[in-house]
Amino acid sequence: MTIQSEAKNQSKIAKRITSKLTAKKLFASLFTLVIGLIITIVLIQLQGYQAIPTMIEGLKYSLGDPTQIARTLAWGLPLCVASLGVALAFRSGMFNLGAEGQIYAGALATAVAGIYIGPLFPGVHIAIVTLAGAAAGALIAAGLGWLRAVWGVDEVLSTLLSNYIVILFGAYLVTNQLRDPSRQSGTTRTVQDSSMFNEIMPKTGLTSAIYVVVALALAVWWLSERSVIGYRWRMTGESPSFAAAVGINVKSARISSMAVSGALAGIAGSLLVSASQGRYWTEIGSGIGWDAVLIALIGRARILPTLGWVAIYTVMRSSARGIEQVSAVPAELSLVLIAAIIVIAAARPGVFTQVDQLRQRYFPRKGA
Amino acid sequence: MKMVGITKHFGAVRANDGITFDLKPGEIHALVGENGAGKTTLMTILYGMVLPDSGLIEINGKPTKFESPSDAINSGIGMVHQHFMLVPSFSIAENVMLGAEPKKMGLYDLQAARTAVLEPMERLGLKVDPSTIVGTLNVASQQKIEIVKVIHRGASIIILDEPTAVLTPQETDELFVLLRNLASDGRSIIFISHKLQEVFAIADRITVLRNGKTITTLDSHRTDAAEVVSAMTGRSNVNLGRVERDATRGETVLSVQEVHTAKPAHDAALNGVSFDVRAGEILGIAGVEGNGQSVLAETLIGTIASTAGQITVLGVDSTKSNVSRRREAGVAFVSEDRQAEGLPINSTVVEGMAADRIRNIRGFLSFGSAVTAPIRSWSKDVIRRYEIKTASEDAVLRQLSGGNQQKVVVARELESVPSILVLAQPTRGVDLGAISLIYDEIVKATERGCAVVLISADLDEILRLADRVVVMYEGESVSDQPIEVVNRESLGLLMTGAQKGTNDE
Repeated sequence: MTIQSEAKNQSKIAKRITSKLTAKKLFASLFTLVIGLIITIVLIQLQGYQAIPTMIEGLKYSLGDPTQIARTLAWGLPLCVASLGVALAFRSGMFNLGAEGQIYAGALATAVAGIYIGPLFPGVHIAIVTLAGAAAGALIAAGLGWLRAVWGVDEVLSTLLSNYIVILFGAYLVTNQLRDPSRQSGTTRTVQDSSMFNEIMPKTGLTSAIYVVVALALAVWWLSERSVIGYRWRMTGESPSFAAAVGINVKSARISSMAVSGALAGIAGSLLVSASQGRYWTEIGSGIGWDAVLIALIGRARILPTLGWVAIYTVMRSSARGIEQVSAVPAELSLVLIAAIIVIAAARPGVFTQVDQLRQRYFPRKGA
Repeated sequence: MKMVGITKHFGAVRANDGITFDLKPGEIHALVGENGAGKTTLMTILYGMVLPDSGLIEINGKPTKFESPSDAINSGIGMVHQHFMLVPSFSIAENVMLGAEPKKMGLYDLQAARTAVLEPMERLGLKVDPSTIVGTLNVASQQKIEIVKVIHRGASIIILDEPTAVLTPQETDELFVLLRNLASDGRSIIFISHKLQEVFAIADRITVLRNGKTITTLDSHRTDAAEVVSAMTGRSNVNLGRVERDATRGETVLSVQEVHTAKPAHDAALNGVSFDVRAGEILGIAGVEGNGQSVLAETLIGTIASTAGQITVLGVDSTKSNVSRRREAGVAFVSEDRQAEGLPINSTVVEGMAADRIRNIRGFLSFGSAVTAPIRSWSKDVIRRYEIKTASEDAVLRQLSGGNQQKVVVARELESVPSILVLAQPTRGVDLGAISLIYDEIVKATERGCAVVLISADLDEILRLADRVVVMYEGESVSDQPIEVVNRESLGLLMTGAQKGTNDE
């Protein structure tokens, strides 16, 4: 065989292996999802309802018609940005469990900038409040990243605990200095209209923020998976000693990836104000920072799978709310489910090899 | 013992393909072959850790089936792993008895354990108190305790997996005496190694594996190294002697003066290391592992900071420079830990290969693509020139063989055209084909004036390549001699710290 035809043959084999691998990965995700569905069915049945019709009702609520789809989408936008942020930090080996706190910080900064600056030309004002949110999240996360990189403070611990500091500090401010005197304690005044995104579909809550989110998703994907900066982050995440040995500045990679991760979480919080609530209050985050951590975990910190799981989770959340309306099954079902999916995703490789071993033991392939 | 037609698949890979292997009582039988030839798979099958797809194992003429290592142990098979299975905080007696403790009224019987262990220890010439804590013993003694352990469990067939990798030449000789004693007791020994010199020194017969098949079984008294090597590689005329090269020595480019470091977890601290390397020269650094060679490599590239002393690169004091600056000054580094430090093992070939080219991109360009079209076409060219066997430049590095992974590392480091190349264990876990390519590239680099620091636990490698040898012992450079005046024995003595050498400079 000539060298050329051998090379051609090799690349053919390579392509086959790659397509096989992609198929295997898709199958693995599908497997996780199917087991999750089975668990859902069992849980709904246990509550005494017909599982399949109930679930169809739920899906109608989340995806039934354009208005419902827009509502589902609107809820998912901040979660999407936050999940990208967490995934980005994970990819560089930084476990950012402080997304929830950074969301609150971003929301608070946005509310302050929206109330006290302006009114301005809408586009400018929106840019200012969004940047304020990003800066607030970035500052906190970069600080924690710096502690890790320079002093070796475990970021799992520091980011986790930072949530309480940020959220409780926010609660202190809105019950004192920033409190809206005309309302009950715990919320700020509403921000000025020029700092709010426009609704692009009436009565759905879906705003022009969706363009910002799409642009951010593209930018994050490029930054993490293709750019030189992302290369340094990913190499640091995969093997800090490799990164150090080839001359990548591991400290600055850690700090900068945390800063960008925090900025994204801050923007997620910002959107909660400027694309939805219009003010800051003590429970504005409603746990989407934690959801983002879970989603980034299932997506194994890869940007595209993370986006996929954001979509799946958003539909699940919305459907669960629909199911709650037609039955007595609580909306927390979606949380039970997402936790179950994580356990399944973690157990899956083990299950697969176990099945494979059993098959080989009892049905050995002949002459393969 | 006899193994016939052993076949084992791992996915699409045939690790063992109809292997036949037999062992006579009282025989030392060497199993040789390159990495990936199927030695380890065959032995894990014999030891019951893996079930073969097909094939038969016979012990004393009886067909047997091992479902687990305990089946194998009950049939009298013992294995001494490359990484010892000892509890460092337990005493010798406790380690040997582990899992089969003598009991008196339900309690551990210390006295019985001591006496039971003493007898085999004496037979192996191990003169240590059985209550000594294992962690305090040196590697050679720990290895003997492993052997005591398998003998105590009644092993008549003992498998030794690369037993000499961690020993000095003198310790290896001692081990060989011990193995011959065991063989004359009627026990059979399977000796896995890729050091041919040792194989010829100890084995009665040699079985060569290649690509999962038995190539041949030779009587060690009626064959020579050349025949075994050609059986291992499938090629004739493989050079095993000194690597010829035509390099003129130039100015001193790297000077290390009295360098000290703090104590890291896994190695000795540097405690005053000094040497000079000139352009075109290869300086070998020998020593038993754990005497500071790893730290020396890390200190030279800059991932470990020195606490005292001076490192001068091309006449410039670089003691305080970080990795990036040292690389810019012309230092390149092949790490001993390929999987963690040498390569991003879960990333692609091109990402691992281009690290040095991407390093210098700064400012706004950092937002641009990391793997650009020129880098991609360059990497294709490198893959071709270094004969790296990979599906494409986008294949995941983990899927490459050890030899091909190492070629990626060596290619990356040499493509930056360094003036100083630090090599730490450059051919560990690498097949002979890749080794010869890597040696050729090292030779080419020195011929254009690159200085090489070759840190290796493999004395043969140093004797084949180096112009001068520095021996390290407990973090110090104890001798610095031209290669012409040293030999295995003299280096071996220096490595044990038995004698302080002369610095011929």
